[in-house]
Parts: sequence; C-alpha cells; structure tokens
Amino acid sequence: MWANREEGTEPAALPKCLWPPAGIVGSEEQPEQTTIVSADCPASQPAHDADWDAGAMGCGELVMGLRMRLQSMQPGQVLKLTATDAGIPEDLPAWCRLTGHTLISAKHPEYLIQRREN
Amino acid sequence: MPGKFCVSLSFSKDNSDKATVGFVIANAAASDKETLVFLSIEGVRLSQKGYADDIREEGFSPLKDLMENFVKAGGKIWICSPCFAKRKLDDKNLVAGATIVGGAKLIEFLSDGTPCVSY
Repeated sequence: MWANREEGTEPAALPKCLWPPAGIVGSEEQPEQTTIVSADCPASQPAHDADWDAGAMGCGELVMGLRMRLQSMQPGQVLKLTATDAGIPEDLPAWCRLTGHTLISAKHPEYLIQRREN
Repeated sequence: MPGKFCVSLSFSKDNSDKATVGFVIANAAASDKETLVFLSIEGVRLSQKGYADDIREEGFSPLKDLMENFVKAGGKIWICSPCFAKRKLDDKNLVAGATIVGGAKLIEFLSDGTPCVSY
C-alpha cells in the first residue's frame, strides 16, 4: 500500500496517465472509463491520421490500394490498415522495405504505416 | 557460385510433369543458391500435406521426396495468398518450409535481378 510514498514518488511527479481522473478514487459512483492522453504519456494505441479496412483483400490489390491512399496523405502521416489476408504478415513488411514507407506497428490484422517523406 | 534463384510453379495435379520438373530444378538450384519456389494458381495445392504423396512421374523421384529434400537443403516455399484463399485450402495443413505470402514478397526477392524460371 502507498508504494509511491515508500518509493518517494508523488503523483504530481508521475505521468498523468498513471492516475485516474479526479472523482474516480473513493467515489461511490464510477464515471465512464476514459482514456487519458497527454504529452508525457502517449496513448497505448499510436495515433494515426487515416484508416483503411481492406477486409480480406491481399497481394497486388492491397498494395495498390495502399499506394493510392498513402499518396493522398502528407509525408509523415500514419495510415491504420486492417487486413485479414493470411499473406499480409509477410507481404506488408516486404512492401514497406521496397517502397520506403515505415511499418510502425504490425499486430495482425492491424498495421500502422507511416508515409515516406517524398 | 552464391546467389539466389526462383522457380515459379503454377501447376499441381493438373500437370504433374511440370510440378515435378519445377521441383527437380529447384533442387538443383538449392544445392548452390538460396532458392525459392513460388507456388501460384493450381500450384498452391502442393502446399497441403499429403497432396503430393501420389505424384510420381516416370524417370523422376516422387514429388513428395523432391519437396522434402528441397526444404531440407534450405529451400523456401512461398504460397500465393489470394490463390490459396480462392481454393479454400487449409493454412493449418502446410508442408514444412511453406509460408503464405503476397506478391510484394516475391517482388522483393527478385528485385535485385535474381533469375526466375516458370513452370
């Protein structure tokens, strides 16, 4: 109990996301769970600028769709792709290496791809 | 001479002669090079355990043996994902050394000028 006191750390010195919103602790009425995001504690799900649910699409159709979508985005922006095709875990890293886009996260069937600079 | 080599194979029991010769060439290549067999179209059926067991062309080793020896020599078998899905094959029943991939994976393998023969 009170491990923060024993360790000499106080809430104010810790990232805000480690502490619940005011009113949750000790209150009888539990408010709806909220996700807290602050500069010193990024959200567990990296931010993205666009989504594409490609369903079961794969292979050439998928990467052509990715090409078109990433071309319409700004350099550095992130696309979240959802794709269930069984070949994607191998294919998407290869395509990113070929094209210069950055595969930020790969947790099949969800992927985050950052558009290349040019 | 080190290097890479690719055999693209699009037949199975619809042309067991081509399927067999494709793996004969793949074995020859794998004895010296990093070798890939890319299975597409009907060729993807060869990715299923047991499918090739009864394919034996006169004058050649059984296809099952050719495939097993190829993988034991370090050869890779890549399976065209949409061809596999179209045929509703079982991704839990793949032969050893086989991986389901998409076209970009093949393009990357070939992008340095790696030669590829097709059967």
